[in-house]
Amino acid sequence: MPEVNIKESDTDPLSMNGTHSLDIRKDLLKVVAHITPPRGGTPVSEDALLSALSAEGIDSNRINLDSLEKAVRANREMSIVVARGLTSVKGADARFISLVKGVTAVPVNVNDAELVDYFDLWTYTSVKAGAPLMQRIPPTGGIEGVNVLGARLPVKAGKSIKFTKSKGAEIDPENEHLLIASRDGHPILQAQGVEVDDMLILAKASLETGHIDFNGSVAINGDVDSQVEIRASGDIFIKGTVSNAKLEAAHDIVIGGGVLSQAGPNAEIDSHLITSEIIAGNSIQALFLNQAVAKSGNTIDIQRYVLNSELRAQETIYLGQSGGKGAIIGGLAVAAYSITANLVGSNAYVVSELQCVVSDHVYAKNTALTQELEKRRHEINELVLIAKRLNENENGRERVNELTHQKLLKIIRTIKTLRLRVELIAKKTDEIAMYLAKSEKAFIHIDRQIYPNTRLKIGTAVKLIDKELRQTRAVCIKGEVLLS
Amino acid sequence: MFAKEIMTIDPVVLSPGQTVDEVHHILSVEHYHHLPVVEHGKLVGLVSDRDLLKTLSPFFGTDQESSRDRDQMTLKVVDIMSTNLVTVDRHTSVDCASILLLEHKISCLPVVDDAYCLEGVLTWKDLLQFYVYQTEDITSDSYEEALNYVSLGA
Repeated sequence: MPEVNIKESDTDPLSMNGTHSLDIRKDLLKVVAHITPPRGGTPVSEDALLSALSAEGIDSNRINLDSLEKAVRANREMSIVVARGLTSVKGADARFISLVKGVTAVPVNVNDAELVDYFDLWTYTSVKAGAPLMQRIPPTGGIEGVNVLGARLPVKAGKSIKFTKSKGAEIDPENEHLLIASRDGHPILQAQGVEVDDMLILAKASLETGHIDFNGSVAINGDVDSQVEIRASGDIFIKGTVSNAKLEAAHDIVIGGGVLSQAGPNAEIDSHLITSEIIAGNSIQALFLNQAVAKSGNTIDIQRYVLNSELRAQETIYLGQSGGKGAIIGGLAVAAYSITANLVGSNAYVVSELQCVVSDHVYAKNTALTQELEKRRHEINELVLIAKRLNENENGRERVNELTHQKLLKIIRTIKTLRLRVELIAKKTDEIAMYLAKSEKAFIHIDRQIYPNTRLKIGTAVKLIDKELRQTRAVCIKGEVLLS
Repeated sequence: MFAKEIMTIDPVVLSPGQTVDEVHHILSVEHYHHLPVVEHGKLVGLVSDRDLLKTLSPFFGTDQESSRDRDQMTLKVVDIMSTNLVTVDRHTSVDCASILLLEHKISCLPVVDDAYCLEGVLTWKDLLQFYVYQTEDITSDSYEEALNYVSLGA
């Protein structure tokens, strides 16, 4: 109970008049009037109450006139609050609102066969540099209180909490309350900030993580479990082993362990067995491959062995060149420039095929680009002829017609744009020409041993190995595969 | 912006063996101004409403119509079509196509592929629509995208 200060109006016990007394709470936030009705005499008046309150120094703004009215009409003893102060309200601490999510749940998708892919659970968020990450709501000052005497009560402002320093994030130079990404990457939410990792790092890839489709690079510190699919617009780094899974990266894929499958590359399409598939826009590195498919836009480098797998590299395949056994046993290896291995085939004379050939796709691309080049050059010639004709029509005139002038300007601009297009196509055709020229010097090099039942193909020439050979180099000369 | 983005696809086409009477019917019913002539999938000519007007007698369909006027209607498309064609391809820029159309004083450009198969037509209406409602310019990025598209044989 708060302490009170009681002021009585009439202390005569024989008086027949109504009486009042005021309780002023010690904290000065409340004044209670105790009213005794008259016993034949005069009731307590509103003026008397007001005078009493005024005499106590009560601020008129804090007095509740309705309560006073009720008090004076009382026909029985009553206590009523007639003046009230306001307690001060503490300010709110600074708080943070996240503008991104680390992962977003994907709605459950039921396919035509009424099956749900429980690996398709999350979307891992990626942000671009400059993207807003977190909004800081600054602390508030609080609301000042006032006591019944009209004196102001002190107020405590909210705590000013700042953004914590986070890697890959910075405070927007134009808004001190906004945290933005300073680089592209994956946002990791913290209490007072957001860290932007330049890659998505996970302990393992499993049913728990679901499929991963990330705009950036992905690093898995453990294994990639069966049926998981990982796609990245950057690189993929796996420290462990990949089992019956699919990886696809726009750049490199580096697998510390190996790649295993239940079924080889030629497994029946409707088979329930899964083939691991590794596709990289640039290079692929792994310790070993067992019944897997690997396709690379550049090189494939496997240290130990490749068993019954399919390797396709746009440029080169290396086996054991950075240490390791470097063996290809069964399956198919295709590269445009060269294939270098330590050992090919096995004592069991397993059928293995090594090809140094250029993909039909490259020739098709070359043809399409050459045709495109021809068409754009033809258009340039057409426009040049039109421009010349317009110019000739104006010859002899003192002043070139304004419309003709505008036409010529437009035609020249269009020709310039076409020339830029031609340059772009020519650059691409040159790249293909260099690629094809280099592929003409293709070779297959076996450092230690090659077993029978190995088929070597360079360009269109084919050679079937029918006896065990030691160090061998195969090249194509005049349409024939020659061994040395 | 390229021709492929604004051209009219699946235009009504004629075969060289169709009669002027059929062309007259199609042009009056469908309100087209140009009809490409295609044989074995390849573009071989173009018939415009003006080509048709040049062929038709001014007395055709009147009281003074003669048997000779009626005979004109049995002429074949191959007899009246224009064969000296200015064509473009899917990746011709809209600017270039517009200049070709204006400076050759024609009002329709057939869009053909490498094998001269018809893919669409680009008419003055398509171009006018583009310039009135869309004015985005081709950027090198989008061209590179298109180039990849071409080279993939799509």
